[in-house]
Amino acid sequence: MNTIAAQFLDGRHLAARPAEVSREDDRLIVAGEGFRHAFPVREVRVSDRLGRIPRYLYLPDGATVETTAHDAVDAFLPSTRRTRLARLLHWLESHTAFAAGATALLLVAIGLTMVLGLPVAARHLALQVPDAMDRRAGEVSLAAMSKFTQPSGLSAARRREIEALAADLAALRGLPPPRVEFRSMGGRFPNAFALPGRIIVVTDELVEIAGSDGELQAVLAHELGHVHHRHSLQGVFRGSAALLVVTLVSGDLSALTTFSASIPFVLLQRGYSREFEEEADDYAAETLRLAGVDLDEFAAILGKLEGSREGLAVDYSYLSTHPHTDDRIKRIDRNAPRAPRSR
Amino acid sequence: MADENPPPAPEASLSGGAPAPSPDALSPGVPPAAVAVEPPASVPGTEASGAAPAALTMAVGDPPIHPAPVEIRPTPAAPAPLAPFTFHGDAREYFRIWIVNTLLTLLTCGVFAAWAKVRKRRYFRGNTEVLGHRFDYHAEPWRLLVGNILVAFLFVAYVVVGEVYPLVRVGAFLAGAVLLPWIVVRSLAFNAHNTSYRGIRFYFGQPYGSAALLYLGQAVVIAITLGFYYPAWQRNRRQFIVSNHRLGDAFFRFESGSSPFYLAYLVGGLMVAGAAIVGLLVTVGIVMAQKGRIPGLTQMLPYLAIYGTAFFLARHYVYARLFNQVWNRTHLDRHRFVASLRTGAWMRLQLTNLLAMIGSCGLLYPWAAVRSMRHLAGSLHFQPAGPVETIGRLGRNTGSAVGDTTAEFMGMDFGL
Repeated sequence: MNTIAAQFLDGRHLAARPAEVSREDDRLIVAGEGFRHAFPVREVRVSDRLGRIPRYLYLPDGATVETTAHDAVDAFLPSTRRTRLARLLHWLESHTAFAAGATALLLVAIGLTMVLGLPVAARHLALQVPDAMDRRAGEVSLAAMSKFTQPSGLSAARRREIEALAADLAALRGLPPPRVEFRSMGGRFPNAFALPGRIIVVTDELVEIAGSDGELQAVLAHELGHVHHRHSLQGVFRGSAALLVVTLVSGDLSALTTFSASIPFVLLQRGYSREFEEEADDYAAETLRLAGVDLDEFAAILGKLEGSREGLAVDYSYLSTHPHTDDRIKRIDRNAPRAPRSR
Repeated sequence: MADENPPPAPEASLSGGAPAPSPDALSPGVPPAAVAVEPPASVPGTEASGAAPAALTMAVGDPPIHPAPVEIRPTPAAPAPLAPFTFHGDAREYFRIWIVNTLLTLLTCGVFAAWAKVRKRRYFRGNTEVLGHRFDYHAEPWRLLVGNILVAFLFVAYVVVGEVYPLVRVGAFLAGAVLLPWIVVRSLAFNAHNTSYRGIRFYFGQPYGSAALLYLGQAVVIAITLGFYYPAWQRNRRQFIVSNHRLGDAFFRFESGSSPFYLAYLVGGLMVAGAAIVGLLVTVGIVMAQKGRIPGLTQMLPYLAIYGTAFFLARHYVYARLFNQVWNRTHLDRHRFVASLRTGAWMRLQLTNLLAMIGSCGLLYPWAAVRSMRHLAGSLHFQPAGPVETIGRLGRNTGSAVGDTTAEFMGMDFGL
């Protein structure tokens, strides 16, 4: 058996002496000029291999042997569970292929967390927001919306009718009535919005375009779906990962109100995600079934809303991200059993 | 951060800055004649052995010789040459280690973090060399795991219980504040005990009293003085950390007044204040340009960028200054250290590190860490006053360098 060139550190002084380490049966021999020590191999512990840093053999009497002869040391000493783990780690750490693989895996893991984890966290957090905070966020976003809309021209009686429609639909789902706000968009963009604070904004243009209360109910049921799932707050959290993380970690929701001012702008320009729309559609289908409103009404108003968008130079409609109208109608038909014909 | 410090011992590592010309830096600009006429009283002790004879010869050759200065020059008994600290880490090698350990930490839901941390410390200490030997870190990962689990448990309890009984949070906060000195001392002691050099361990005493005074009593003073006491507190903290460290039976000592600390923080503060003013002017310019409309968040970006960069640079300026100050005033027995970290070079290095980290989504962290450490090690020298071999182990503790002494320490590392 050959020997390992090493430094002997006696553990008593800061002195190093050159030594040779060899093995005789189950004894480890450390010998140098004027000294020769023998230790049972089992009682010698070796530092794990890591990069090219020196290895240390910790001897039972407090002395240490320092060496850079890594392979020889590994071959020298008995393999235990501990050294096998260390060897595996070193093997992983010393192969570029593993480093590349680990980098790729890490990036994929981070990406997946972002793609899959963010919506889940946003939903969880949005549903956690206390009602008082939700209301305050609603006030802020309603105030922001008022800046680019005009007061409604609808009669008080017509407003009360529509409010009653919304309240009845909510009652069918066991919910308190939503707060319905009326605004005029200057003759264009028939629309409805769901804001935080259980607020549904209905535009005069939408009321004009709707041919029946059934069509209005369809739109209101859809917006109630957004309200129920708090899609507006979810959207805020999804839009800002930073806000999400800060809120999740600190539990401090105060930044949310500030962000709520941007909700109307986002709704107007991009709308809700397709996923949110489908959720709201499903919710609407079920609500309309309970209300006994024919789903054809939904299809009709969707068609009108789509028609109203045509010819606009710039597509400001929040419907632009809605699933294609035909698809939506088919989807609802498939998922929700038809209500008995009410007419 | 503590990990990146060169000599594990004064974990203090961390900061310092000597305005005085360091021996390395002094040669180029100074004409020999000047040296001869006016022997710089402060320099002789620190001069590298090679430089001194040369300067003397020159002086002799020059006409106006004043015998007195030559006599005054204290000739220390053969000043040993400066021993450089060298860092042998390699960015590629460390990247492989880091990425594998990071991935394993994620895959094990954080359990492997203890092993990863030990490997990181071993890598950095094991690659730091002085006087022909490296530093060895031999902490048992499971001890860190115990500490990690304890911290995780306390945190979850704090969040969950605090949700129901908010009063618990106040109590936990107070308990944490009271326990802080104990935690600091334990962590420093744990890391010192698990670091050795040439088979001799470092030690950290158990100065709970002064730790409490420092982290609780003086913290209150900082608050009362609205932060003006902070630089002095930093000095006291370094003093506390360095002076309680030992290598075997040799004590570390740290002797420095507070003024260099005040100076460093003053300059750093001026940098931040200057950036705030420049940023303000830029913002005012933007507001004027858009006729008094209040700028939105995006228009505040230049201000935030200027301020953030200045803050970052000021932090590293202070770090470099204090690094030099602390190491130049640190003694190990009769031996001392010479630090010459150049503030400009250090700030440039950290700025490029920051840009690289941002540009690579953090993947270049190993590269940044390795080159920071290499730079720090390259700026530090050990100046032995004689043979270091006389430093011995503390007391008569026999037994393995790894085994028993750690046992008496409820070895925990709270990630400080």
